[in-house]
Amino acid sequence: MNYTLVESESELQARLKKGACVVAAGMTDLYPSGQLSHTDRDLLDITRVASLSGIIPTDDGWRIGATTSWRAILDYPWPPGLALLAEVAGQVGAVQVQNAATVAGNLCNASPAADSVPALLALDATVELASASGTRMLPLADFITGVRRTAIRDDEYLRAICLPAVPEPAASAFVKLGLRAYLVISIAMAGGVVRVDSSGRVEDVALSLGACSPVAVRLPAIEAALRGQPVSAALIDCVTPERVQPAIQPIDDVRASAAYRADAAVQVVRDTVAQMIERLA
Amino acid sequence: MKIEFSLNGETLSCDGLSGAERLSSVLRERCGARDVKVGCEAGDCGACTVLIDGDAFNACIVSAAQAHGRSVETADGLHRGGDTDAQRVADAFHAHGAVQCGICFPGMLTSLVALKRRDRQPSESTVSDALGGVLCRCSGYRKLLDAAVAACGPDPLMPIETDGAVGDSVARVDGLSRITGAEAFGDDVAPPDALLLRLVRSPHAHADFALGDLAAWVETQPGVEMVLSAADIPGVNRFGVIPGFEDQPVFAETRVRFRGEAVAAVVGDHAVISALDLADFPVTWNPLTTSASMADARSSSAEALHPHAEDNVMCRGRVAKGDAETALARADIVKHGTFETGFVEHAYIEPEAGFASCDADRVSVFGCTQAPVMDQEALARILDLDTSQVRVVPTATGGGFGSKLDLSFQPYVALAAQRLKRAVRVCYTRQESMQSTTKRHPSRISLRVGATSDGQLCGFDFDGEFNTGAYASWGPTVANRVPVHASGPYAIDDYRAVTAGVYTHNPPAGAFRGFGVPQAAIAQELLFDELADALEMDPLAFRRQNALRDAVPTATGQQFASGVGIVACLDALAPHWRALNADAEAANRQSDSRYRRGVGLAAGWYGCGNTSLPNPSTMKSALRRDGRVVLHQGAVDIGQGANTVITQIFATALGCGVHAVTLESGDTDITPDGGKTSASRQTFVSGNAARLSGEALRQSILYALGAPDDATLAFEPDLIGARRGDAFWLFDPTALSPDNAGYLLSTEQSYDPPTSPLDANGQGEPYAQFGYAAHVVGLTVDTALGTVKLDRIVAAHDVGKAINPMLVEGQVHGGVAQGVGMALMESYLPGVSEDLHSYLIPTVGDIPPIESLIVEVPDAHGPYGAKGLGEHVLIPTAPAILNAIRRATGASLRSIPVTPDAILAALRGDTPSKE
Repeated sequence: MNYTLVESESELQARLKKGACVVAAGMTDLYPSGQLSHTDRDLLDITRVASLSGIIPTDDGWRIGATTSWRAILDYPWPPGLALLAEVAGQVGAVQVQNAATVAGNLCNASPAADSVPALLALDATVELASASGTRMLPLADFITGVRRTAIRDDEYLRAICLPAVPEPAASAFVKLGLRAYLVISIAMAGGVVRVDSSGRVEDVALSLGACSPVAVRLPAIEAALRGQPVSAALIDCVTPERVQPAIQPIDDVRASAAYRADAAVQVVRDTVAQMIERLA
Repeated sequence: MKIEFSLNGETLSCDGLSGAERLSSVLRERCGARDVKVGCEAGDCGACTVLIDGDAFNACIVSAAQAHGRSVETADGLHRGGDTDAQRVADAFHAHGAVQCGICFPGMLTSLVALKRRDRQPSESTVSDALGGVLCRCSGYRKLLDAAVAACGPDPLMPIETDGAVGDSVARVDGLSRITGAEAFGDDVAPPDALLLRLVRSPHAHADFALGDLAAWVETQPGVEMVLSAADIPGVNRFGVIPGFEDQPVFAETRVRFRGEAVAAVVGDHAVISALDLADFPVTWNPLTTSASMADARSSSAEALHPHAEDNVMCRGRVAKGDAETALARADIVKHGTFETGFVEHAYIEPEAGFASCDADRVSVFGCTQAPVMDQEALARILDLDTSQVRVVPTATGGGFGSKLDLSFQPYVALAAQRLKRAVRVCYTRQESMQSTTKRHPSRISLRVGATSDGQLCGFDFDGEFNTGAYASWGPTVANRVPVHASGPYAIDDYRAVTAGVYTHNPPAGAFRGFGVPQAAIAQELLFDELADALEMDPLAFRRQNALRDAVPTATGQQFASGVGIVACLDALAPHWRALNADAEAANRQSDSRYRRGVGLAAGWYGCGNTSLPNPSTMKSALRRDGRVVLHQGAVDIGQGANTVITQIFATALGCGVHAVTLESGDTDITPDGGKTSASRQTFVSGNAARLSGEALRQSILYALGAPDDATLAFEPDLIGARRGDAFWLFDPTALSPDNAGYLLSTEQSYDPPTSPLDANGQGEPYAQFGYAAHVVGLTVDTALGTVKLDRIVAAHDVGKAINPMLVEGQVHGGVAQGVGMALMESYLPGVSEDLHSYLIPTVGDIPPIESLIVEVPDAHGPYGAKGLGEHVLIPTAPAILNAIRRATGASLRSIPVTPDAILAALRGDTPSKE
């Protein structure tokens, strides 16, 4: 295995075009997963590529560069509609992991329990994929295709995550359920973003659920039920098992039973809605 | 690849690296930074935390290439380099008694320095967030958190300089080096040219196997010096810790009986062996039907794991007194239940590691251990050497909790060194450590307990099966200890407790803080709570009424004329119990139905030392030619504090301060046997030997001085003397001739606790002393999610005499934390939870404030009245938590861990009763 500290995107594109490469940034999953042992693929470390770093405001939102760490997300002054990203960041592993791991890596890794996905789904994120042959934008929901599977081609890399602005008044929330306080993989987690119109009704809302299906999902039935409703505690009761459970396929694993996940999924979404209401008050 | 970086301010350049080499490896192996401790190589434990450009990173999952051009700082580097934040934090950790084994502390120290650089006045929750990425298995985090907050405040506590007499909270004599990482652990001591050894392990729980042409394979592997297997063992390919139960092979011969069992070892150049892909190692496997559970192993179709146990029952234990069955029939109320617990992993942060060397016909093994002399004796049998030809030198041990009593890495490196006449080292990976070393026994316990309407216990019938895995290890001890202890610290006239240890195709279950007693206490303490409820009695009053007292016989008929401290523990807890209950009731009246508060109580006891067996410790002390007092302290300090506590006892007996004493370690060449660090015996047994040694050395010095018995000794840097009133006697070192060790005076003293054998009904005097404990837990259950938030724990412990109250509290906190983990999250599943992100232990955010109430009911035999403590601290925590959950919600739980799914299922199954 050759290890290259890549210096520019053009170098990265040229190397990826030749194939048999692994793109590395935070490496917090590459080491523990054993992917670096006994591989003949070349490692392309992109952490020194200046054009891939940073959180940059754009005309209609934000661009999160591929090497942006969770720490940078945690420290960024997000407006209320995107502030759930900082909540996610503060619950990824612990400080050491937050300093090293990247949001983009979390997406490319495509774990069912990837902490970033529910929030980014709720924010209608798109990913920018680049290669020597050009650039394409994919909605996040089309990018992650299954358990540890994405739509990225071997010659491509994830250049940035693009987030549309969330006009205020708005609120967002993230709820993670795990077995301990730090360094924990979710049993279930939910992300939510809500916008309110001038009459105090829900203008738009996005809710998503992670760790309860191969890929995190949006919850359109609840979103539809909430839209147009006046903001009040009664919204929580729109989150019903009938509207949540058909969207997910929970499994039994070392962290919890499938039956429990199905119940907990409903509750973490209720708690997410409750937090958003509280923040709007 | 060549990288350049700054390490603790010094510019370094490393060439010929793979860019993907872990930074932890570069720092430790190429730069000599052995203060960077490695616990998991997966970013799960945080021990290896270093600062890169000032921020905290797990060095084990940062590539060497990523350090290029950066500034890297390590714990000892910061401390030695005069970083004021690091020194302030280290002093606070030291003064608060935060450190125990210390393997994780370099990670704690660097993490906190990173925080302090960003935030000069962090809150407690910010400090907690900063430390959340570093796992500690010893300390229970609370002293660490207090110390960290103090270090960030205006007035950090400094270590108190005292003589460290018995009763003083003197800071650990070896504390600072454990905090900064300067201390050398098992993987920190091998010479630079040592070869590396790796083990080939079974991927199957039960299989026959055949090794291929090993010699031919070695030929194809440049840099591999040798392969070892069962055929290479010159002595006996069996080991074990209990005479008559030595059933575990060093290398499996033709059949493996658990996943992770070693079949061969490869030895060679460090870089080659580290990078070696063992996938093509020449071995063929023939998987066989597995007895994964005790039920499988006891079924009529199950194959016997060992010829000496046809029915897979390794051994049985029994204690019986009176007539349990008749009493239960007579009782007004009988409660019964069947309780199950699973494998619990010790999860010390230091994996098994060490090295061996060989000169002429002598083999020396350096590394982590709890039992150097037992290691020495077992290695001699395996290597076919006389024990005098085997030297074991314990390094600092990064946590043990029972598992490092057994051999692990030692025979492999010893054998390789013996064959190659070269130094050979090994460090288990986290997965190897979890797969192959001992666990807490899973249990299945059926218990019936009766009481009469006046609240007296009336009949107790206990039947426990304990899953000992593939090999015996300490299984016989568990089978024998549990029936003695299953009563808890209560008086029960009509009592029967039987146990069986069952072989299964699992890792060997062995010693783990409590030897089966914590499992038994869950069954007993849960049913006692249910009995109290049925009797409409206060649970504390019910326990107090039935508690053992002086001169009241235990389940084995043993009577203690003095020193029975359980009533004193319950009385100390009583005001806390009442206050927490009042708070919980008030909160439950206020709140909606989702969050329910509950308070739970449980008690425990534990006999210190071996059960009805000889259990001596010997301590040698001396006066050196240069006037220093030397103590050969063979009671291995695995973090619990033996180096400090034994020294305090010795120094008090001698009449000097602890800082006048130079410690020699448990090196078997120079230090007599301090016995194993287990069974809460070191303060009691080794402490008594140290007391006797101190008293004897004092007598020798007084005699040499010609001073009377009641004179006071004085130890100054250049002067030793004795004083009484105005009279003074000055010691003349030239008047005595030194022995070979350079000692002018020396003495060896032993202590063996008085016990008597148990008869066929388990009646007799198994222990010379018991220690007593009771805990109260206040918690809140989220009944919608089944999650538990611990609010407060109050722990009362009768320690007879607290030799060092600060270290007593440290033991209490650490044991409580392990009890919390066992109750709420820990479950080892072979093949599933073999790392520290699948197997969860508590983090700093999971342990609530703990109040420790030290109760001192003097023991007739203990040094200055002291009793053991190490295991007592874990026993009441889990049952107290389960009792609190039931009081909060009505959920009656019968197995651990009580994860949220289990609690919610119990809530759905049971209608919460009104409490």
